[in-house]
Amino acid sequence: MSSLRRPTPRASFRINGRGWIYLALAASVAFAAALKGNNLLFAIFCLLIAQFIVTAVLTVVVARGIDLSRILPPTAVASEVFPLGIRLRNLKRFWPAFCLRIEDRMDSAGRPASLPPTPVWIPMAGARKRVRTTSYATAGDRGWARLGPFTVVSEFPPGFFTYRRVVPVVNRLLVLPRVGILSRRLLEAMLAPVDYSELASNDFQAGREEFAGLRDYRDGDSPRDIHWKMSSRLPGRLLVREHEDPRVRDAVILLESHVPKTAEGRRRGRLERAIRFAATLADVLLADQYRVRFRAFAPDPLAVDLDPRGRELETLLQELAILRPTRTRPLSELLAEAEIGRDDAVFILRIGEDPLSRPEDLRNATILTPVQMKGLLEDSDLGEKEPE
Amino acid sequence: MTPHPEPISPLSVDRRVRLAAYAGVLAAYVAAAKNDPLTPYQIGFFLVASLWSLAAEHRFRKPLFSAPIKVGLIAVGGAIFIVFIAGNVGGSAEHFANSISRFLFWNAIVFILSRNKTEYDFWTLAIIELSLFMISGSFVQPPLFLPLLLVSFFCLFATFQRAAILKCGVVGEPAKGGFGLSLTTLGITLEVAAVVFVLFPRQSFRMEKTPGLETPEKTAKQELPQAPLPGDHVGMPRTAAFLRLTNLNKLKTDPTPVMRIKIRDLLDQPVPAEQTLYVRGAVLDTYENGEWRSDFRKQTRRDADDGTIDGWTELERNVPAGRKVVRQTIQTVGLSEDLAFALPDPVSVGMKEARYDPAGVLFYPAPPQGVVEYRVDSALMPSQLPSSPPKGPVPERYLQLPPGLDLVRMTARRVTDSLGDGRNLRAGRLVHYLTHNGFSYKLDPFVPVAGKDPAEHFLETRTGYCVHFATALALLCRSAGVPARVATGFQLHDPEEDGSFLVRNSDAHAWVEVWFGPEHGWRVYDATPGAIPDAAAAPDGAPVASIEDKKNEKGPPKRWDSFITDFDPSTQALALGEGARKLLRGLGAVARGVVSPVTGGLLAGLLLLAAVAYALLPRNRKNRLRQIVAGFKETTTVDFYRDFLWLLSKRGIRKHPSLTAREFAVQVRAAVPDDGVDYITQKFCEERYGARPPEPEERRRIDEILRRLEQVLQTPPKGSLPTA
Repeated sequence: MSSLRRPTPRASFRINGRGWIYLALAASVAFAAALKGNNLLFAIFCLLIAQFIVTAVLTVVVARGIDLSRILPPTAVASEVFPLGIRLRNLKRFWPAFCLRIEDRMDSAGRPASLPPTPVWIPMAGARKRVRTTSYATAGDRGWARLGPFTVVSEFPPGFFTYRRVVPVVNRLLVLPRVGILSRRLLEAMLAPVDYSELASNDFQAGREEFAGLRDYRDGDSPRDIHWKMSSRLPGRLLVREHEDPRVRDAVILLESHVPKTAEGRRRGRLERAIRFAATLADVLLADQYRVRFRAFAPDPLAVDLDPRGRELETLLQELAILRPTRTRPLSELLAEAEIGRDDAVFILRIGEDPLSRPEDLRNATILTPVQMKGLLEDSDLGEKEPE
Repeated sequence: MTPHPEPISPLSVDRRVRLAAYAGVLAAYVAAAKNDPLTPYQIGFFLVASLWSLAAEHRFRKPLFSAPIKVGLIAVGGAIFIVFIAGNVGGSAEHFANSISRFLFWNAIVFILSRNKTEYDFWTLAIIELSLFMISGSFVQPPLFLPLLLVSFFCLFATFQRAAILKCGVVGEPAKGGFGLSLTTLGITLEVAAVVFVLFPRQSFRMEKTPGLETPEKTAKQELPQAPLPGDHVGMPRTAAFLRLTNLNKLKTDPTPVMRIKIRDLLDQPVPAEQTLYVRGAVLDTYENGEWRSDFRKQTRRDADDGTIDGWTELERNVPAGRKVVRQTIQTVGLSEDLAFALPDPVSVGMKEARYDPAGVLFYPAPPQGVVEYRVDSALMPSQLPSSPPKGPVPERYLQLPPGLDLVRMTARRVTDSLGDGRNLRAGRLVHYLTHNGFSYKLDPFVPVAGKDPAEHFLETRTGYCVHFATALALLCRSAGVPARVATGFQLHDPEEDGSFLVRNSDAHAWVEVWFGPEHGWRVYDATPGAIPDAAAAPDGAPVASIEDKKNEKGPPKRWDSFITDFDPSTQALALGEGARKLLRGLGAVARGVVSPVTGGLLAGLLLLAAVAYALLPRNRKNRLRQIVAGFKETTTVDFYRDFLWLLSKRGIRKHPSLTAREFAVQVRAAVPDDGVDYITQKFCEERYGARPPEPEERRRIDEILRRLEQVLQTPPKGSLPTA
């Protein structure tokens, strides 16, 4: 079988159903006029035909000489609706761009988007004028989404013709994996085996923690931490003290991304779920003041260290968005390369079933299987299907 | 559970779209309705329905009529229409047109009253408009037809353009540009329609003049009609139209030329136009059962009857004194029977043999075939009124009246009772009566009521064409004691430059001749509206119009839109021929101008100027010009990026439309390792997607990079460059 795809036509112009009916009506008037030799009927017929011709020309004219562009957000999140601005500039000197339907196209991770952008109607853009409108789109998968080209559809009223024209404006948009909601109860149960005895100082509880600096007030901060003296000098701002938590703990998230050719069909889906779980887990751990180290092969070694004070989850999400599986490097290599401390809380997100080489070294590790990850994500059933 | 209310259609919310649609329907109905007593009520009902729709329709969510009720109402209208038609079989075209118009208008009102309209409701209204205009064009033809058609078309544009804007989801927002766009579209449509109207190949179709429009013929010269082929309908009509007055109205809608007649006196000088208005074919003297008839005595006359063989056959031996004899040369085609035509009264004919009725009717010896040419000498009727009363007995048959005709007798008595015995006075007063008392001209088929004489029916309805006017006048004259007969033939007008007349079937006519005794013979009286001027039709005025009067007064007044209604194949050929001649003349002038030394020098100067202008152009303009000449397709509106693509395309590196600028930059860098590629791409993205054009400093740098790239790309490549 040939895999050649039929190229998309740049433009198409055809008479639609209404046009054919109109032509039949005009022909009947012409018949009556010719039969009777009645010039008034000829006048009607000529007007009908002229309207047909003018509509044909204007259908094409109003859809040409336009410049289209998108106004994109910096990033989008998979399976979430994001606004997509469309700007139309009418380059024509005299004619407006009239009643155009703009259809966009989005391919997410090489596949058509689950919810393509809503068609947008442009009622009128005068000569040399710009108009701007917004549609909404949803990218199904993380990664680079490809937007475009635009298809401009014109049916100049009364709409006897349909003119479709492809405007090759193509953009890329990074789609981040969606951060889900993790069951807190289960997370605490997972963290329970980790021994924090040596870190369990009473300093923090006694309020003798070390002062680290000032920052703006954020929702959830205790009013006791507000530095009133400094805040009074900066009208409109509230500053809070930041302390170094002596109880800062480390967590390591190891993501297995080994997808050999033989198990590709099954592991691809699992990897997507594991990536989303990793993003969610990192978000929760950061919120719990963990220093998070993320390690994976993407397929090159990927190491992202996140500080709870830095709010750096975006960095991890961007890396996860473009993460590609490795064909050759199994989890054992990742475990060998990862520097895991004795007191680190380790989360190993597995997508395969092959046994681990030295399980005794992973006393504090929480190994999560695909099924467990699915159970832990409270909204895991949204838009996902179990590949098994 | 409460059902979710149905959303209101934007077409039922927006007033402008409905107003335009209703105005279009009203214009169409006004065009189609004529003399319909129900028109004021219909329009009143329509206005009430429209006002209700505009004021209150959007307040209701549920439709007033469900689809079955809508169909039912239309069916009721249809049933009323069918009953009306069934009861008026044989009725006039006007009645027929009125009944269809009422039915269509009723349907339009049903659609106006329906709520929650869709685009298809407006399509239905548009089709109703079209149907009404077809009725109007076919049957009614009001003088305001074209303006009303244009109003309706404008409303059509406005309706559908507004509906299209509403489809884009701007309900409630102020409309922008709708009126101007509709007006512009209408203007262009009119231009195209005019071109189609002029160029449409109407020779391929049978053309008839618009019924009901009797207008003057073209002044342009026509080629002499050729002999028709067997089975053709062109040519002289069958003599029944002249002998029994059947289908004369159909002849009057046929512009086919049938005869050319040239009139000179015996010294070959042009004849003054007086008394050369009517070419007579037959005369009808007996009126029975509502029809005219005549028994012709076709006496054979030969060239040798007068003792000499000179090619002229004598018809009348004694030409009354005071008559002027004129000679006519007549070319005609395709007579299916033997009736010949000549100015009254023929005295000799240029045939070896002819047949003649002493009433003044000429016949061929046998029905001729093909093109015929003959000459006739006629002793014209005197233009002066007789100074003394007519002498001699009056032939009885010219006073013959059938029994009955009470209305005719009563009318004649009423009109002429107070007058003396003068025939001219009485006939003139009767002509005046028929031209000044609401009698109107109409070519529709005349359908008298059963059992009633057509002449009396005409006097009641006061509508008819020349046959009815002539019949009524002849009968009224006879009732008033004036001997009269009906004559048929052609009416002449608009002489050409050489004094000849082109006669068409549409010039067929019937008129009345009144007997003034052997000395003065017959005089013409014509009561058909427009056939004689008001002054001439005065009770005591001269009955016969001059030819100059005829030029101005023939038939009903000329329509203002005759440029449309009279546009026939001959006019089209003339217009196109004139246009082609002008075009050829223009081309010839251009060709002559080009080869002349002056023009050559001018062209050389222009070329030199163009070269200088090109040299002075700024670089980017020059680039653009080169790109256009080389056929480089514009792919972006950012000029420096276009120049950049142009430079690369010359080396075979072309940007595929599916590539983004940054992706393309990666590919270009593989072939052209220059940092400027990234810089230009960056600046392009800023201008294209960020609406930030480059600053002057940045612009200079871009120009520098482009120059550098041009040099780099001009050096021969080592190996082949990868093409994108």
